[in-house]
Amino acid sequence: MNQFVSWLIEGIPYGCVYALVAIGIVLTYKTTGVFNFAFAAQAFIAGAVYVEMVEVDQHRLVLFGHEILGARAFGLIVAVLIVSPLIGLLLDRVLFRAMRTSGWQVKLVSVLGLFVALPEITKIALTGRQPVPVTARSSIPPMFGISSAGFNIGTHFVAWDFTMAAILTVFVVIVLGLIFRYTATGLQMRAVVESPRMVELAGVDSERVSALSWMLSSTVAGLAGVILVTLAQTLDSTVLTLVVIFSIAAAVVGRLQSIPITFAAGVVLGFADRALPDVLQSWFGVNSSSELAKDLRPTLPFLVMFLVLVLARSIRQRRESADPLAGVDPPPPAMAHTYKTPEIERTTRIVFPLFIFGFVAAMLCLVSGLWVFRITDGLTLAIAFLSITIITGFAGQISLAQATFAGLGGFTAANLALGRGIPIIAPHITSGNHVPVLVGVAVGAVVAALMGALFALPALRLGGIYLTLATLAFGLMVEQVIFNRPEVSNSAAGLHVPRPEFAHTDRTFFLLTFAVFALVAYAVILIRRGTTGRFLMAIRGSETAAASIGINATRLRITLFALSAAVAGIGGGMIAMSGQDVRVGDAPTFPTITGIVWVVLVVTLGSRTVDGAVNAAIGFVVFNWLLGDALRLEPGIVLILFGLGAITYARHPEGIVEYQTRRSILEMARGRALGARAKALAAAHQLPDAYTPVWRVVLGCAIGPGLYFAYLLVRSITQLHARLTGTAPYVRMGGHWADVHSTTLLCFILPSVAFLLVWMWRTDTALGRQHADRRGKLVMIGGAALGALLGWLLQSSGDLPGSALDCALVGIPAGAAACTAVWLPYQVQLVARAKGWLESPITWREGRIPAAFTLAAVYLYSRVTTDTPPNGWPVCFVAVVFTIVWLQSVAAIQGAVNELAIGNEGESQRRAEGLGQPEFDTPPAEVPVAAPTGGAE
Amino acid sequence: MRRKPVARTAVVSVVAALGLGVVGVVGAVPASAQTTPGVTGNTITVGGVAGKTNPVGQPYASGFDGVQAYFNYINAKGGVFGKKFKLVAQLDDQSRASQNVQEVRSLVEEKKVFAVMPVVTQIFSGAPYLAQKGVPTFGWNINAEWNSGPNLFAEKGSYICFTCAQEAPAYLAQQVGAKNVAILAYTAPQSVQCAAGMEAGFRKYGLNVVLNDSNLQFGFSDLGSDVDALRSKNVQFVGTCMDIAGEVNVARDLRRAGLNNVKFYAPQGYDPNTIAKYGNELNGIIFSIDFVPFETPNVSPGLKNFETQMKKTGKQINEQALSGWINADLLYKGIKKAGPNFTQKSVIDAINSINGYTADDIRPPINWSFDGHGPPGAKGDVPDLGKETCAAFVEAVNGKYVPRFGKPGQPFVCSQNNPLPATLDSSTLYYRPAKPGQTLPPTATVPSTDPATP
Repeated sequence: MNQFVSWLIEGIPYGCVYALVAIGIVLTYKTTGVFNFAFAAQAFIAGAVYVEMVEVDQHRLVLFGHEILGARAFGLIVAVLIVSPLIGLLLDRVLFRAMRTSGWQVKLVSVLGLFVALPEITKIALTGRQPVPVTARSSIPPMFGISSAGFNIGTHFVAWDFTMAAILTVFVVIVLGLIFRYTATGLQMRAVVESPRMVELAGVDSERVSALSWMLSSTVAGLAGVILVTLAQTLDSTVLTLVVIFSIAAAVVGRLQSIPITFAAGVVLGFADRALPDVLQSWFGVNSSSELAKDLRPTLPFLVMFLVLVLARSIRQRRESADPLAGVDPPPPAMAHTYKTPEIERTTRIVFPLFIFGFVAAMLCLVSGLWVFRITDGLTLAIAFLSITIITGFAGQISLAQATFAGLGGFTAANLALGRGIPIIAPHITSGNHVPVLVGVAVGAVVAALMGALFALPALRLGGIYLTLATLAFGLMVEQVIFNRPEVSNSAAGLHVPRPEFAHTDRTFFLLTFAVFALVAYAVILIRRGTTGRFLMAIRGSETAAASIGINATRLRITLFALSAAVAGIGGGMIAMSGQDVRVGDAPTFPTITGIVWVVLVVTLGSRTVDGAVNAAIGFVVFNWLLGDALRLEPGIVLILFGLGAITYARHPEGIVEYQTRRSILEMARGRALGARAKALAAAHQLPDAYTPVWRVVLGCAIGPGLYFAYLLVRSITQLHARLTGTAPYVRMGGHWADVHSTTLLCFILPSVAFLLVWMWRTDTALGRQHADRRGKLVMIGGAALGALLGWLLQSSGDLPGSALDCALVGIPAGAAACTAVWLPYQVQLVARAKGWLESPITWREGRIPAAFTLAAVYLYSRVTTDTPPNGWPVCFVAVVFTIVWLQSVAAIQGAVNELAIGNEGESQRRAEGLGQPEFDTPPAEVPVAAPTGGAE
Repeated sequence: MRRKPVARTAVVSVVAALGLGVVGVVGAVPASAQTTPGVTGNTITVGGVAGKTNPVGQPYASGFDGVQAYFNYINAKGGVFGKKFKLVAQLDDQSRASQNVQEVRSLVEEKKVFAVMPVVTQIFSGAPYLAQKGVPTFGWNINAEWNSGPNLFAEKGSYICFTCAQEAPAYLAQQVGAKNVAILAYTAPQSVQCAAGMEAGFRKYGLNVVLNDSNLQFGFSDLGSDVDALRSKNVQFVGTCMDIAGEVNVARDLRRAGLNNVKFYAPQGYDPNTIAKYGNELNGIIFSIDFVPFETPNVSPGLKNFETQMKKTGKQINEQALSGWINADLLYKGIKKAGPNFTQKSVIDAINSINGYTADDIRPPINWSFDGHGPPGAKGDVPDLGKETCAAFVEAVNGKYVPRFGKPGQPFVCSQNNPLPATLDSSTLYYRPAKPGQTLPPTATVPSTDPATP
């Protein structure tokens, strides 16, 4: 009995912390329909703000000589009651308001993006570095200001900070219970989740309710964050993430709906976690260092979560709440290849093999060994990403366990290749003989497939977010129970994975990887085109409807998981071979959190196609190098970019690349139609003076940068020749072939910059004559002044190199161009409206990208102040991309101006009517079936 | 006219092809007339890689600061053979295996450094590559990979054994009069291995291990059951294999439970900045280190110089920075010994002939010709040399570190190793300063060949 009391007294405070976090998750889901994986990120921000304020220790409220609020209380108020609700409001306004009627996948992916990006943004904003070990008694005492001591209940010590956390949790439960039970707002919050449009019909301001929901849930997240930071004595997003993941089990027990049940589950979880070691010891004679104890205790919450998910009838039968008005949503767009004209198809058929041949040839003959290694690394990652293409792109499910399946493949291949057998399952199968590593990869794929099928069996009835949570629980269990075992991962030392004899060099291994990738990619394409792919798309649309036409969903789901796990397993084996090393301590290689990052990467760039997987993998590798190594930015920048990129999933569920490809094809068709019209008008001598061929403008802008790049090329060839002949004066002086000298650069690009500004001025004047806003000149001059001021300010604060005059002079054209790049499309919008067009050819949003690139360029330029500034071809690469983006923007604006000049209203009207597709010679080959409620495409 | 995707694709393809071609051309160009990478008429370039981004929030990047401080010091004195050192790359492997390989390859193949220095990371998967390439490599040894080749030099010698029986915690337990001991560790493999080595050491020296809990979760664990076990079994000494935040949490929970007299052993975490932050929270934690404590710089001219030079840079003093300093010192001495026409190989050979290396009395001697790359006594054909294991100890007391268990001027407690001594007492243990050849037992006379200090 005494022991039971001990478990209660010591376990419940921890349980209350889990409960508070779980309640926050349930609250968000209940009031916004979003399963908030970003909860940890929100909590982290509040914790960081609290720590920052307490460490500064200057914020206090003193009245009449008495301290009313100390630094801790001040920090608590600011972090929880000011910053957290503002974050909630911001998330609602910027992000989730637009996706209130979206499907669960869209919301989940966006939240996963935030999960990845927010902590990195906070670290850079507040600290500029990784986990900040915080504090202690002297700087961060318990947040309630009570001494570190506590009180005793019998022989048991109870700390005040845990007690206060428990009291606060109970308080939160009561307040939330009252809100939901007795207030109209509580009812409205739940109703808005079901159908905002229906609620609006009843006269409720759904936007206000949604904002309130986010502010409330964010406040709970903030409170949890501050409590966790003070209890764990560290400000570390990983720690917060682990606590949140633990707490998800309690939220699942509460079916993501019931706050009282969630609270009870959290408390029981804390109690069980405390009691388990004693129970094992006293009842089963299992001590804490035994394998069973090592397996069981860390996995307890995940085991509970998994069992509840697969066994609880109410969850299995639960359907996602469907908006009765969801049918009014437009269907998702068709895939880009369905828009291709025969001409583009023909071009692709010729160019694609040539590109592949050129790529492979370059990799084998030209590219440096290190870059071959990097690109091969990307390709191995792409193989693993194809498993996400199958499960998310084809079947519309989001699995967070793909990195786990990859890990199974990697560890199996490594163990077999090293003669260690298949750990756990058949350790002595090879009797110490080394199995060829490629056979190991194949066996790894089979093991992963079996585990995938094994997972699918109990999870057959799960759908939507519940299946995603089950994959999370499964991944975490495998990580704890399998990967952590020394017989699997060889502890911290890891396993050295050999490459096949015939592919031990970088280039031969590239060939092998490319061949494996090609085979897997081809198989994935066959799956998509074949019966399985079509069946998968059918059950994604409607499982019931699919069953009605004889599709066996059970078998299909098992096949789906086995297939995707097998592909992930192959990818894992290849990843292990590429790095020639596999280990469990290598945080980002295989663990489950990595699985989340993988999903974010793939869906950002395109989860429906093989191209998307390749782009995501190569992009990740190249961006890591470019931003981290070459440009020396914070390593978190890559995660921020991809994390925020995932947010675009709401607007473009097909992925950024797929969206851009489709858009490009459509715009080409529009441009062609416009060109034909211009030709006809010219033939009839009716072409208006306002019409200027796009190429003329683009050429004017491109000629300067183009000549500069040509100069670099010539210079590099000269230097290469000098190096080969041993007369390399420039290189001997310590220079580099691609050194960028600002004076030379300016000489080349100044005429083009001048041309650009003059063109902008004239275009604005021309648009002004067509009933647009006449304040364009003011905007341009204002932008120039702002740019000059910014340059001067940044220089004087030490952020920019060079003299103040230099920075101000560079700021003038940069500011003018950036502002006008946004202004001109806005002018086009006004003219289109004045002409009565239903849709403008372009909108002001088109200007955001060139303007953002200009700001990014200023930021990169500020990095030049370091001792060893970025230089060489990484800078050239960035400059090329910068130039292309600006040229595209110029072309888009001029194209729109031309469209205004010579009409094409029919096209605009047709687009406004939602017809979407241009008139082609032949209709698109395939019109995809729309998913009913915005499913993942 | 609108944008044409085909044209755009062509442009992008051309740019990509040009980029790839240029990269390839640059990569495919044979080495220039310069025979020794990273060495020009007046500079020697080195570059390093650290896990700046790491899950335990350790200041690994400080390794660069130590290297830079030493380079500033040497360069101000004219460099070595008229050449000045230049630290040209400070890369971050983000504590990832594949990234580590990429970064070390980048240093060797793209930046063409003379030496890779420092390597301060949790995962040194690039070690086999560096060993194969024969590039002089220096760093901080917390990785078993350091003994991959004769060109890898870590600040405490290039050999480490996680699971071998550890003497230090057993010695400390005996010194504080403990009979019953416990071990707490995370589920992470590194922690589990550390706990295994600690347990083996405790058992070898007759201590009663009442608890080895290696299934604590990183960050936020309920220690209630462990606290109950420690109390009920009257544990007086706890060895931990955790990060500093975890160690503080353990100490706090034990104190709260009234176990005020329990002492703790922490194999890592000794850092002046840590004590400044945690203050009294660290009370009772004893750290083992393998260099002269920062609190007693006067016993070591090298340490004093390190502190002076670091102050000039304005950077933090900690173990990683000191490691970088020692690394740079070893490179400098290796080059000096190799002579003005030094190459990578001659410098490696020169270092591997140095015995009794102490970095100007900062740490106990390392005998690079003998067991710098292997376990104590790895080359048994050299009698009485290098079978020694030493450690200094500091205890956190009321917001300060206090050196413990050494003697004035002799901070290190040593024993002859391989095999481990049967007992830990005055018959097997002895005190010594960092300076080689002093106060050694009669059978262990180490000839000092530490080159002249700069």
